[in-house]
Amino acid sequence: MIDALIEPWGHAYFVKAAIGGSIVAITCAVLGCYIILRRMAFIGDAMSHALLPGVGIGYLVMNAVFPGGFTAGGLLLGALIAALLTSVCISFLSAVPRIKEDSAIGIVYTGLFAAGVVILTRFQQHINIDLNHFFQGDIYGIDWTDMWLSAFAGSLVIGAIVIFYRHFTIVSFDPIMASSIGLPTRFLHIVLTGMIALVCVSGISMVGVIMIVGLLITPSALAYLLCDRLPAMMCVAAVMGVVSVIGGLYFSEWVNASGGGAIMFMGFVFFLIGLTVAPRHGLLAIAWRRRSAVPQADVEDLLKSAHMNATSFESIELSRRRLLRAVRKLSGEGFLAEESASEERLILTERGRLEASHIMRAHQLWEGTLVRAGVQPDEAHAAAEKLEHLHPREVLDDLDDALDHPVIDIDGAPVPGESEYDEEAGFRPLRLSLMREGDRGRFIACGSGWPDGLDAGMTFVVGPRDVGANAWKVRTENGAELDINHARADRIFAEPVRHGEEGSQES
Amino acid sequence: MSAEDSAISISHLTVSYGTNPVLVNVSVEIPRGSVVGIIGPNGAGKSTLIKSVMGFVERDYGTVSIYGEVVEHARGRVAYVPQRGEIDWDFPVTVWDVVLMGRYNHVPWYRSLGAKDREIGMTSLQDVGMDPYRKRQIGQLSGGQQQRVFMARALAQESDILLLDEPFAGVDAATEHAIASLLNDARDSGKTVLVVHHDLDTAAEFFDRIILLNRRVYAYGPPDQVLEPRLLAEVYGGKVLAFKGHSSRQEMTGD
Repeated sequence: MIDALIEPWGHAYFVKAAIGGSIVAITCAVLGCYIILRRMAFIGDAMSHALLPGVGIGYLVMNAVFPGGFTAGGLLLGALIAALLTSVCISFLSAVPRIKEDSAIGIVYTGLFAAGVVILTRFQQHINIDLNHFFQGDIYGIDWTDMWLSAFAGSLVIGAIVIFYRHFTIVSFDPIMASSIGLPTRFLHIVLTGMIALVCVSGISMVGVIMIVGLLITPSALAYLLCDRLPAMMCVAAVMGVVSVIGGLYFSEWVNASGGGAIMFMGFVFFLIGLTVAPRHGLLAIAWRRRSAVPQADVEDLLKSAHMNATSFESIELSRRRLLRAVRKLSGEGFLAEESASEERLILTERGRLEASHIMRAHQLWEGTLVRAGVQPDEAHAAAEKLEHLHPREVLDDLDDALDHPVIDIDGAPVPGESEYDEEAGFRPLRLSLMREGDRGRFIACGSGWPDGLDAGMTFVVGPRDVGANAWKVRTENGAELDINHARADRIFAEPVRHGEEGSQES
Repeated sequence: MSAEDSAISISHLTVSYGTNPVLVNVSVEIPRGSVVGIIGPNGAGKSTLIKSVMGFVERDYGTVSIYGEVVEHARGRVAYVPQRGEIDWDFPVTVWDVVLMGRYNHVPWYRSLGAKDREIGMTSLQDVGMDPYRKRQIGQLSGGQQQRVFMARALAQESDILLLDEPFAGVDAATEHAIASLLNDARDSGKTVLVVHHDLDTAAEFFDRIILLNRRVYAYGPPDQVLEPRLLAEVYGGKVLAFKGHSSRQEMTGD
């Protein structure tokens, strides 16, 4: 076992493959973080394939100028031009309304790739590039040119990312702010695109086109599952890239498979492992959270039962496990008293009572709305059992208004007025029309001038509603009684006050 | 008011996307030290107006100037708080990283952020009450907390002008009040604040002046002049549950 781990390092080809592969993997991983955060993965894939004609033409030109000599520069230049052409063509095509961006990418890269295949096969005798090599690479056949080329490309890319880290990050995170502080967002995008091309060209002869895309995406995607900060994500991605390369090389030695394929396969396996066990964003963590989450419906049903005085645990139709969880959650949030769990009965706090009455109100208003729309009362009741869990304040206020602010629901039970309480902000101001008999409040503002006898700052109690005239009776602190019609009640804003607190509020 | 007193001066601004006019002949002078709201229906060009003030919307006609300078030359003098939907909340940055972004344009590319930048970042975070959450990834905050972090970033930019796109959308009551008082503080320290807003009910409460926009400016002035049921009905083209509000900020926030 130990032998199998140490033995390969005795061969020069293995060491060279490990070093060269690691250089490519680190470069890819760091750049890959930006690629996945900017959702450019498909563009990266496209670009790597579209390099082929550039590489082919570059090779032909260099061969014609320096016969049999230095071709690497030509390949690089050709590839960069092809990359630029790819992104120009893609943005040009995407501007046509009927062509979506992903179609444009698909069309452009297959087209350019096909052109490359035609060039390569037509000039087979002049070009020393083999299609199979383009796909799979030949990591065990690395020569020193490849090694230097990838080291050069790697230091260029990583150097640029380190120096311009702030620029690339803000352009990826918030392009609008980036341009508002005068950063050249388009130029930075082109630089990133150029870097993808550079990395692809420098790595293709080692690991091949598909694997290079894999090294760009997979380790960074894995790191994204593990990290919450970009620098950490880049480091983890680089480590994962190197681990995939070394692991893949061992694997290819043991099973005698292609190096490029084995590397990417290992990368994929590591990704799957990470996807499963990642502490916060992994599948197991997600499943665990989902299992231990308390359904909101359970919580709200409990509040409602407690509000209707069904407080003993036996009277509630929930399994004991779910019941206890919901009770613990409610006590934690301050809706139920702490001793509820130990005493096995639901004890509402003041906050819990308000929340419960809010949910009851949601039920009554939804039910009323459905009945008014012509739904049979028993059906409406069943539907309202589900709809009551949709209870944002604005929604209920609209329903309340549409039903002419009902005083009683379809079963004859009183509909409470709105009251939303927040620990920090206190009660939210609301329209007088949303208040009901017995509610207390203080006037804040009136949209069309105060009626005689009312003014801002005055406290009041809402009296019984005259349903026929749909008027709100209000008794103010100095004993005056007024009738206020619906239109005006919609325009008067008040702040609810709890009983007994009328005088204690600071101004 | 003369154009020299204005923080933002927009005249005859016309912007179109293709053949579709988005802003038509918009002229407003926004005075220094004021909190101004932009309200109007969907597609009224509210965000486009804000982006014009940042200087990267192509204008068909008209000018936008910041303190008398053409907007293209005034980059960095405005700080921007984006709409919630424009941000990728899964992005691997922490609260602290985001706030420090406010300092990026104060430091040349070859230098790293210094102690002074960190100090300003920290003060801004404290101003919005988010300093205990420094190390959190931004996706792990509530909507209101996220909004406050971006407010802190804007404060850290130390710009004279703050632009906010729907800062009150989807936040709880406590945050709403916190943001409103931050805007007032900014105004009181001499900054000019321009806010895209959608809620007619609260508009009177938050702003000194309101721009009622639907491609063109229907009204611009103090809330009680702009929030006219007749005008609102014209702009929104239907029944509006309008509350013609008096400025009642004092009573509502208790200060």
